[in-house]
Amino acid sequence: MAFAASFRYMLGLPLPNAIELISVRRSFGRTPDLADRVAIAFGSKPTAHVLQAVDGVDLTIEQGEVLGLVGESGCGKSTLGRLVAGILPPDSGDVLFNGEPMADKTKEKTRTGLGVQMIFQDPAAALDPRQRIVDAITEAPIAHELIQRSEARAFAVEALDRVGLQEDSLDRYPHQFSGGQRQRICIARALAVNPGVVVCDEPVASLDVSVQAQIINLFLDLRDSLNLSYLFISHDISVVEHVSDRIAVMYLGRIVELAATADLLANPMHPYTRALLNEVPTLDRPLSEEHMLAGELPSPFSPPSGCRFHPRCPIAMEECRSRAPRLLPLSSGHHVSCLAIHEED
Amino acid sequence: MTRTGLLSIQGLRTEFSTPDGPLAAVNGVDLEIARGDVLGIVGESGSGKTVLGLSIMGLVDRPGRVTAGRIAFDGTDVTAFSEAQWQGLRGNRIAMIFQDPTTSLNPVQRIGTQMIEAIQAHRDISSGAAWQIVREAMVRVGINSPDERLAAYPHQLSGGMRQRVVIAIALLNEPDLIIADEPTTALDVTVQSQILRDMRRLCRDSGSALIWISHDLGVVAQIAHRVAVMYAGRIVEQGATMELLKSPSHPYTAGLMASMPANSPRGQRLVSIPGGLPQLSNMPKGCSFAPRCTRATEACEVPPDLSFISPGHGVRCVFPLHVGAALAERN
Repeated sequence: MAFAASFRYMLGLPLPNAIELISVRRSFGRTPDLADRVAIAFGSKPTAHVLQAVDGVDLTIEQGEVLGLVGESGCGKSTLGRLVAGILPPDSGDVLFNGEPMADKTKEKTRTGLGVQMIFQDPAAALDPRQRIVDAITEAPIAHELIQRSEARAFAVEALDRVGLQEDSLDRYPHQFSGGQRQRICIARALAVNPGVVVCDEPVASLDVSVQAQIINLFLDLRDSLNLSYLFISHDISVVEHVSDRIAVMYLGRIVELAATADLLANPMHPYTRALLNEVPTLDRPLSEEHMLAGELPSPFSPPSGCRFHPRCPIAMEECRSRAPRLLPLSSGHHVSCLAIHEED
Repeated sequence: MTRTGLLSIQGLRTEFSTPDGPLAAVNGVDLEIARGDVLGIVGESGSGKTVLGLSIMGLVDRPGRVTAGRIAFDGTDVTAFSEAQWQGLRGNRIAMIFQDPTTSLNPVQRIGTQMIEAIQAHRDISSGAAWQIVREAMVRVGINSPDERLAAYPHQLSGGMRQRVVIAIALLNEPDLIIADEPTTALDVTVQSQILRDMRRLCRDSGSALIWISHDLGVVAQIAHRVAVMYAGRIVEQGATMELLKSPSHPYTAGLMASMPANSPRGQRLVSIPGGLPQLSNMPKGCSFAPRCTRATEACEVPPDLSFISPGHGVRCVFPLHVGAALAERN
């Protein structure tokens, strides 16, 4: 926890949110070259090769909260995760960690950036194949002078013990571990710098079902013992549902629905959330004959106008083509971004 | 509808030779599939489910080879087929759909060209007539504006669309058997459910038998009439989908189901199976699941035989679960 936050805690003041995003935007694309700039200067439209991955997102993660983030591939959920982790700077908007602006990790090497850590989908790619486990875990704490080089081994033993690995793993290399064990190593490495928030981007997607359960249990245990906040990103709603306090549903760069987990599942409001929940394969309910969601995610290079879901939406109105809905709260505390719903409310 | 046998596999063993000696990826598998049947094969990575699919297609590459057992397709023993004989069968009467549609399609050929090639390889037919069949196949898998898509290259289509194209190609010659190896794993749930619906409908309409290989029990439950659960090269349990899911008998099947997040109260620790899959080079000598099993005793040190706890529901376990429940239901 950052110094200012612990100071507030001592004074008995309410703690700021662990993470606060204020109308954060991020796009990817080619920066205009000379020819483009000349063309634009002469009045031509800027080329459309810009992908608006995150388009005006407001979101908070409270202290000790697990916020789940679901959506189809290409909806911008990984980009949002990287913005929260400070790996990518936003084009506009603010990312606050414990109420303070986050350091730009791409530019500054400051200790304040350690507060948010990230765990990736593929643990094999996230670890250096030629680095021993002890070095992988202690490299960051040593570089940031959180520990002395002489205490590195003892520190790594403790870090590994926390994720259920033995001391004999210290001098081994990543290829000598199974996928589940490698993900445990990545978790140990992320926790080595005492973060307050951990961004987990599809952390169990590459694991087998039986191993997936072990890692999910580890996440639940660590949250309780270290009072961590998580942003838990996954395409698998059953996983997100299990670990999250609240769930945000993302569609083409925007949050379309946000509610407490039980509330969202029992009473999904947005037509996209309803369709998404209907399509999750389960053991107890056969796949319905009718398909609720027409077509596929539109290209994010040319997103639809107005409400971005309107071309696939079963209840779209004429107005949805031109006017973009905002994410607004309903009386129940359930946030939803849909013109049809707010009209009734 | 009477279901006649289409594929019969007995004692199939597929080995890969390594410097440390042969490793059996598929170790004594028996399977029966009737026409119109949908069989789901569930297993974790390394369980041998993909090698089983490749063995049925005669596609196991060296250093792997089928070393024992018999595969009979429509009454003919295909185990000793030559490559030329296989080519008459493959893509024609047996088709396979792979996990990654990008690697199954030729990136520098238009979709239409590839599809026509798949027809003309097996039938003496004019390109014009083949084009008609190809168009119809595209419409059947739910691709609107087929002419536009047929003129496109694979990279111009989305992942879901590419997998539909691959399915359309598999269906072109109206095969008797389709083997689908994790065909929806790389796709979003919304696209996955569309493809599951399409495949279910297409098999019902054409009477093709389908083998659906997946690591996801939830997906298999949506489509399969029967499920076979694989563990370390063996089928440890098989039975009708509903019965198997209601009363799983093998501790591994029960463990797999229990470890699915949906089967635990929200926020609670999940039931997990301790440990990991055994290494093929270091297999337990008896039941391969015994080291991870809470019910294991000394009796598990000999490989368990397949025993039937109800007709069609077989399990390879000395101490199966739910036997009483299954019997009570039958009476």
